Amino acid sequence: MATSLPPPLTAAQRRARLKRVEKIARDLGFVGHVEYRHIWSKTGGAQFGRGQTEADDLLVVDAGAFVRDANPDDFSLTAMIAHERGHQLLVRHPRIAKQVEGRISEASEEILASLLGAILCENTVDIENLTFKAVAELTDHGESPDAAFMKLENLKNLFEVLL
Amino acid sequence: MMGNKKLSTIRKELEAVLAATGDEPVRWLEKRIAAAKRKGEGTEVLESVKHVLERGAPTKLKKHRVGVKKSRA
Repeated sequence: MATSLPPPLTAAQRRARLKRVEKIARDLGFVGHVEYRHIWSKTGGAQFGRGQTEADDLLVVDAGAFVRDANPDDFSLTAMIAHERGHQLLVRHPRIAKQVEGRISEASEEILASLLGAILCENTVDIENLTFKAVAELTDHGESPDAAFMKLENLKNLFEVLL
Repeated sequence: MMGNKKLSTIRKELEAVLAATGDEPVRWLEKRIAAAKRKGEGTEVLESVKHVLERGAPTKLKKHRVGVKKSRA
């Protein structure tokens, strides 16, 4: 971000942002605390934090997410929150967590969070954009396009069964 | 976390990876989709990528200036 502070918002505008974030998060099944912070961060706009229990988990969305949401050539707020809900499922969903916990790298976790996020979304554009992100990240880590498509198609089918 | 890479950046990167196969990316995807369908395999991931590439960068709306045009007297 070009400036260190996001443009000021009124208390009502902040509440409206939090309300919107909470609504999307709950609709996607997020359990735990949801916060809106009016700051720029290096997270890309949203971050999941694991708590002691699922109820202690934390979703933090910041001003950057709203800038990205307003850009038609970037991820929507829903897609970003779905990705974070994907992280939560990776550690909390009884069947998924059992399959992946302690077995995958941080990079793989990001890829799987996008794929799970895509499965959770209803909007076609969000589904496709998050799927695209997962493929791009997998090829970015050295996977050939053919192998990346095959792996993700198989994983998507597996997650759809597990969810 | 979501990461700072914009969708537009990710699109360019994956487009370059697919172009490195020697084929035009969308054509490469179409061939793979056709092959997968023949084998009865899923094509949702391939089709998602194809659609994102086809959508490309949305056209920006022209900004209309609001106000009174200064007249040259």
